[in-house]
Amino acid sequence: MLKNNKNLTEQCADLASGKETSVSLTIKALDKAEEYSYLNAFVVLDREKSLDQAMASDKRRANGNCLSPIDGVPIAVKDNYLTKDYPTTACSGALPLEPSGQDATIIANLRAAGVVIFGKTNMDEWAFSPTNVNSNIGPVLNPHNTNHVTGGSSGGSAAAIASGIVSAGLGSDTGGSIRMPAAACGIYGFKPSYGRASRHGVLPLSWSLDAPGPLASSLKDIELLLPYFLGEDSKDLSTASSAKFKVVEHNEAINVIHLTGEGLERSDEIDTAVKTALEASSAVVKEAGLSHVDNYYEAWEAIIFSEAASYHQPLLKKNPGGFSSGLRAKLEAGSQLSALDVLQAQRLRSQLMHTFANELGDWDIVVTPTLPVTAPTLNEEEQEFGGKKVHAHKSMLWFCVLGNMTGYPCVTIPIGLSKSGLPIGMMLMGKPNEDEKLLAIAIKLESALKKNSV
Amino acid sequence: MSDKEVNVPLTVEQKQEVVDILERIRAGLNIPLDLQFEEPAHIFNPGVFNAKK
Repeated sequence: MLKNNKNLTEQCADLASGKETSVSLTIKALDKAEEYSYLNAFVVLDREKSLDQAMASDKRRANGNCLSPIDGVPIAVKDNYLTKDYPTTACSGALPLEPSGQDATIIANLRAAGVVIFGKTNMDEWAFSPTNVNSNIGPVLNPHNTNHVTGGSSGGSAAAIASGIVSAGLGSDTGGSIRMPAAACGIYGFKPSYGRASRHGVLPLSWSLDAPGPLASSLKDIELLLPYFLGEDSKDLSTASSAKFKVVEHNEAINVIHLTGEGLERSDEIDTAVKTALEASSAVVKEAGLSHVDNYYEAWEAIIFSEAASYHQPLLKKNPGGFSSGLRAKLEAGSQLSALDVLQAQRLRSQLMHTFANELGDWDIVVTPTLPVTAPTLNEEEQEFGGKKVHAHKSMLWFCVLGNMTGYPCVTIPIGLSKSGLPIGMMLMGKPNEDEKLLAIAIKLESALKKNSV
Repeated sequence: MSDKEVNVPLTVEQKQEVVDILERIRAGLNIPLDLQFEEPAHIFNPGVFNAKK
């Protein structure tokens, strides 16, 4: 984070001790939102609605009817989650700007816990871009340097947290859309295993890749929020086997596979930062390569383009002008992929999953940088690193798509700043449905890292 | 919004972008697969569509 803003865990403690009320927290958040309005983090923010929720929370607390540890905390919501009291636009010109009248399952869970739903955040149009430049209300600016992107597509939530407006927010991740902006803004982001978090009421981008999850100011904040994300939801059958979140500890040694080599290049600065962090983490680290990385990336593209084209087909026929020029071209391309193309992509996906499950040896977590290079500027089309020139969109997605292709849980943690003052993130990937273990390992690893870096 | 379909042709730039995307993706998919490791099509949660609620 930019300044000494309080994280969610600290805000909860302040509420519990009476040092803060929900109203005082919400007023501070509203004031900061005004101060940082130039970041363009919010699509809509209603002072009255926020304060009404905060007053209700304070009343509950005063009467001894507090709903949860996070009752009364303001949390920002990406504008692709349905919310009954706010419009949901996905930052697209193609959707009617009316409140949907219903809540996504995760929003309903958070409301039941007493959270103040604090406005809707800017995102890439339909979540189909990794920089948060392509939004119908304009780009989100990175709080660390406003000439740079926040990363997308959950860039509004990331900027709102990094600037201290709120301590936590909601995002969704189809190729890194939680992790990329979290890393670029120096905060934490967690993508649950596919099928652990309900997608009901989160507007789809690519249904076999999408995972909703939290962005926050610490790993303990993530721990506080995951109970409202994970678990079975009858409205999303992919969660049929999803267990409720339970805090676990990891007391054994941490076996890390650090993925490096061809197709996994990164800048020297990022490489040094990750290696230094791993050395300080006390983990047992082995390096391993991964073949066919470029092919897996194109398989990811085939899946996301075809699933997005399928989902948007009706709207595309009725209202093609409601999509930006670039997104329309992507959706047209997706609709021209053949069944054979998509099946080939799915087979490559299976091969990648087999490789992770069986060919990397024993591991608790797989580690890569979250981004191979620091966030590009708003107008930068190509980035250079590891001897390669790569389109800025592909460089953002470089490592993150592996998490969506496998469906494995991932978390990004900040590990420092570049020479130019931009945040660097490290991505930890756990085994499928072992989200709790991944979080426990991340907490242990970060604790050792902080201790040994002093 | 009307249910009527609207025909707005792609621009030259959009058509070129479509061609570029398809060429890029198809080039990436054109590799031999190791059939030994074939998995069912619904790889994440094969039983999900049979779940009774």
